[in-house]
Parts: sequence; structure tokens; C-alpha cells
Amino acid sequence: MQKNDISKPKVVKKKADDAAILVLHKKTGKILDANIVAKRLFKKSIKELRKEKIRIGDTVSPTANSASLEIDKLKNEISEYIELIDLSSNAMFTKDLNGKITSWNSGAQQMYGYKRDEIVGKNISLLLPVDRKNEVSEILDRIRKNEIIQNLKTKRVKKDGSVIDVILSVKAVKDVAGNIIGAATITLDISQAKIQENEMAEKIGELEKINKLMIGRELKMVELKREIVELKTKHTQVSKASDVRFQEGVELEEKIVESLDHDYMLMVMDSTLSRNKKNIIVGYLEVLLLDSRRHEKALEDLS
Amino acid sequence: MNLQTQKLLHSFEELYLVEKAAHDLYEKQLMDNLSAHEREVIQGIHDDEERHMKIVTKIINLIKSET
Repeated sequence: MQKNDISKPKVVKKKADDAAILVLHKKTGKILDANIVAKRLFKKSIKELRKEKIRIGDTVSPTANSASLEIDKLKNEISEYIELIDLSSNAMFTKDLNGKITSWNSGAQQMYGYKRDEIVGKNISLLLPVDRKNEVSEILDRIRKNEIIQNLKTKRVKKDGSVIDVILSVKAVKDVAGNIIGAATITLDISQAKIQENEMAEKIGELEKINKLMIGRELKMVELKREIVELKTKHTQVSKASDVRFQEGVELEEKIVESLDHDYMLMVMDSTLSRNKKNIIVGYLEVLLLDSRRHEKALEDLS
Repeated sequence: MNLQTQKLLHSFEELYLVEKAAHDLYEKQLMDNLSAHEREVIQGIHDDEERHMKIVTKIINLIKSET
């Protein structure tokens, strides 16, 4: 980085052995090694520079070589930027105002599948799905108006024909005079994020369905509980009514059994009726007695 | 008819009335809203009571015929 900061240095110190001259850069205040200054600013070796009478506190003016040095500096900066762009994992490329691709970085190669020499010179419409071909002219129209397109969600086609979801940012590229000569595009592949988003939406949909079912079931349970309470109440009422209704029958049957079981009745029959009639009547009474006991039991069971 | 026979007859007439009361009660209950099981039981008892009334009537007639 120091090589970019060495315009108009000032000699601040000479080392005792004169082996090196340290200079202070006026703008940054950094102390630089004169070896670097000598080579990059004066295009001279340190030995040659030492022969010149440079004193502490002198301001050294750049030589005529400084203009070419500035150009070198710019070239270095540009090459650094190009290297940086090429190393970027983001897909970056430029195109002219006709849509012809003029540069293509390795990120773009990785994303779209086209190598640089395959795609540079081709039209950008190659990367657009059939139903989005109009996007090229729309984007270029906006670029001509010096608009910056940011985070445009769209779709693009890879070399293998697969369609990917992407986010685009596009900005005008200008020449030295400031004229718009093309556009630079950065593309971010969001297919994976889109898949996850869809999966998430699907899961949310499923959860909402389950939730609805649960609520429905819950409501049904509440309804069932209410019905059970109602039935229990009704059952209790009916049971109480049954108790009273059947209890009356039980009491009558008890009364019948009591009458039939009367020893007095048998004793009177002994003295008033013939044996034959008495036997017939006793037989009838047995039937009545057994039936009435059975009735009593059945009615108690109903109660 | 001596007094004892009259008392005996009276006892069976009372029995008849109880049987009839029971019969009428079950007949009335059969018109109520009963479950199938209840209806089956009450119907059976009701039919028995109808038979019992006939039996008691027969007994009464037997006693009456004795005198």
C-alpha cells in the first residue's frame, strides 16, 4: 500500500551509515524506506540517490518520471480491482448497451456454467428464460437513464438449461468522459434460499392444517363433553322418574305377596273348603306367589 | 256362607283389587316412554297380572260355589 503514498516525500533522517534514507510522506505522515522511494519515485537506485545532496528537511520534488508513475499506479489499482472482481464468488459481468457481454468473472462462470471465452461477445439474452426476454431491453433502458437497479428478483437460465432464482444489481459503466457505455451486473443465486422458503411455507401450511384440525377436534370434544353432561342429567332425571314409577309396582307386588303368604287364609280354607277345592286354590296361590316374587325382583332391577 | 268363608272371600276380593291395581299401573306405564328392555319387562308383568286377575276370579268363584 505504501507505494501509492509516496508523492512529494520529505527527507527527515539519514541513517548514520547512510545506507538508507528515511522519508516522511507529507499526506499520510508515514515514514517510508528510501529504497522504495528511490525506485518508485525517482527511478534511481539508493546509491545514485545518495550521491545527490539530499539534506534533512529537504522537500524532494518528483521527477518527470512521476507522471508515468501515476499511470503505473492506476494500472496497478485497476489490475488489483480486476483480480478482486475475478476472485469474487459473486457472479459479476459487464455488457455494452446492446446487451453484448464484455467481461465475465469466475463467479459468473461457476453460477451460469459458461466459461469466459464461451460467453464474452454473446448477447445477455442467452441467460434469460423465454418468458423474460423483455427484461434485457427494460434493464438497458434504465441503465441508459443512469438508473441503478438494486435487488431485482428474477430468474436466469444456466448453460445446462436449468432455471435459477437470482437477485440482480445493475449499474452503468462509464468511459473517461462520463458517457454510459454499458452496465455492470452482480448476480446472487437464491435458488437454495427459495427452495428453503418454499419448504418453510409448505411446513407452515401443514402446521396450519394440523392446527385447524386440532381446534376442530377440541371444539368437538367440548361439544361431546356438553352432550355427555346433558345425557347424564337426563339419565339421572329418567332414573329418578323410573325409580318412582317402578317403586309403585314393587310396593303393589309386595302387598300381593304379603296377602298370599297369610297363614290365616290357609287355615280358613282348611275349615271351610273341601280338600279338592283347597288343593286347587293352593296351586293357584303358588303360581301367584312365585309370579309376584319374580315381578318384585324384576321391578327392583329396573329401578 | 259363614263368617269365616265371608272373610276368606273378602281377602280374595281384596287380592283381586290389588292385582287389578297392579295391572292398571303397568298398563298405564306401557303408554309411557320406556326403553325396549323396560317395555319388555313391564309387558310381561302386565300380562301376568291379567292372568292373575282371572285366577283370583276363579278362586272367588270356587269359594262362592262351595257355599
